[in-house]
Amino acid sequence: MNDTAFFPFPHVFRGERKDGTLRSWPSTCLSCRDRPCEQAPVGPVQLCSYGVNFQRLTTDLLVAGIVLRDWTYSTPAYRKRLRENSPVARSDFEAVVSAFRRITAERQAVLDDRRASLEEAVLDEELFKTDYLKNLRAEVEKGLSFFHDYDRINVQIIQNINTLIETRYQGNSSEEKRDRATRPEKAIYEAARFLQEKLEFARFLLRPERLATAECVRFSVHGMILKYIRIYQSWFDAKRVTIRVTGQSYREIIADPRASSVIPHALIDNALKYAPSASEVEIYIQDVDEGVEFEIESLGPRIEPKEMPKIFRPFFRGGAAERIEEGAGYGLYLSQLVAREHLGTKIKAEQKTEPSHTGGFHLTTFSILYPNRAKGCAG
Amino acid sequence: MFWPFRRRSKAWPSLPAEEIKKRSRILVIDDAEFFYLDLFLRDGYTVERWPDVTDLPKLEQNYFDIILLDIVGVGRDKTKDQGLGILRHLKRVTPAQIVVAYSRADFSLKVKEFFDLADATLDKRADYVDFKRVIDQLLVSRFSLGFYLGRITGLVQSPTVDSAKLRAAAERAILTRDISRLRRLLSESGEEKETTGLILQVAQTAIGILQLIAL
Repeated sequence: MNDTAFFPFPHVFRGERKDGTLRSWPSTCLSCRDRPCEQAPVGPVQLCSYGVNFQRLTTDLLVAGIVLRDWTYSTPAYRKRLRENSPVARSDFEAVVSAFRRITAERQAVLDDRRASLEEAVLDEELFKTDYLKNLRAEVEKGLSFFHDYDRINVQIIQNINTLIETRYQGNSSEEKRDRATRPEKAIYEAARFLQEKLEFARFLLRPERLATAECVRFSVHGMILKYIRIYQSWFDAKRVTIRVTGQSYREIIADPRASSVIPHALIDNALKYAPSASEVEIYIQDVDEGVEFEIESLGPRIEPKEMPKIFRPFFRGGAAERIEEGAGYGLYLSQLVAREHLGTKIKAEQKTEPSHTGGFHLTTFSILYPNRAKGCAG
Repeated sequence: MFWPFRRRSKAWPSLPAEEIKKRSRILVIDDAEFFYLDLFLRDGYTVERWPDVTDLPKLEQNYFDIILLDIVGVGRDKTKDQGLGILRHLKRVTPAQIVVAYSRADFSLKVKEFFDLADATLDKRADYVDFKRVIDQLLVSRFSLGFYLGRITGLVQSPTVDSAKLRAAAERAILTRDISRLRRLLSESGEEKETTGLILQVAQTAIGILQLIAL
């Protein structure tokens, strides 16, 4: 039995000729040596020089050996076939083709769902120990072979710009001194810090096992998120995107601050990448009994319902997102990895379909509850 | 009647931060340039940089108050583990030495051991003020009695040693600058010879610092 066992017309499935359940291959086709129909690409119904109709429906399936009664034009060979064979009404043929397409799509959806749940199960269990991720790591290592050089150069930039600002400006704190620095000096400082965060992020991707040996300290979630807002501020300004911070949070949690930082970093970075210019990003940080809620809401590209369960998978990128901005697709994956493996929580994503004045952008919300004590710091 | 000898004070004297800074010596061991050196010198610290571990005996003698030690590219001719090997060695032979793991953040297990063994960590990418804050805190520790008492109790191996008794004996030994009773206590408690030696060495270092403060 195969995928076309009940197909009514003669057909070629994966290179093998099969009779249909209602019609068999006509003698004309059986004696045909060159079989030009088998070379046809996926497309509309055609007519071969022997007067027989055919149509390639998929790369695997070609329907052939039939004569359609109401074909658009006539050739002597076609007229001869009409006389010799019992023709098929075009509407009947189209009904069969459309039923086949529907069944194929449904089957594909079932297969996709099955694959998705298998992937989900694999990802749920000891995520970073799977063979899949070992292979992934090899790829990442290759891609980041210059990582240590970047890091070294960045140390040089940071220490030198700090020295410049420290020696040139007066102030009670380093922030005050930086405020008095020239724009290029500030820009160098900010760019170096930005690069540092990017390298830090890549480091987690390179060594996700670091999550198993987390450093557990007490720190403020609010302070951590504000730090990222500051780092990204000039990039948001350049895009004329306004950041609005709401909520009240004073609580300190016990977790690994570097691992926990991956989440606001990725989500703020995401908002910066995809929010249209002159739009608004709303960040909500609120203390609750169980910990600190962090939510980021911005306009972004459409995430299709079928894409939604996949957005936290490694290297997955939504179709619309891919059209807007380049990216590798590991930010959300890494954030969810930290949320699950270290914090013992989960990032949730949702998208509302907004009216057309948003210009094809949709209100997207990512939210997470930072627990009072991370799972990785329990006991 | 007038007592002809000045009695030694039995309290640990406190020293203002500025004085601590003046009397301390900081060493940076890194094969890469240390760009904050001028800022530290400007702010009154005595700092020097070695591109490699050029004088190990000097480190073993507790000559420096704080050592900022890089993990990669230093001590290659002495140990295959480079900075980590040097740190392990210093912790073994001179437990009172304050060593700061000075490195670019990394997550390998080797680096984790380096960070765990060190007294503090400093990310090379930190701002100067962060460097200064860590150094100042460590210097205050270095010039405090509690730091040495903590090190001594942390070294004890024998379960028969009463740590409260040991702490009291160590405090007395340091403040009176006489370690003979402390030595006796350790010997009577069955403490290992090597550990006893290290504990007495920490007490001697504390006495040295006490003398420096009293100057």
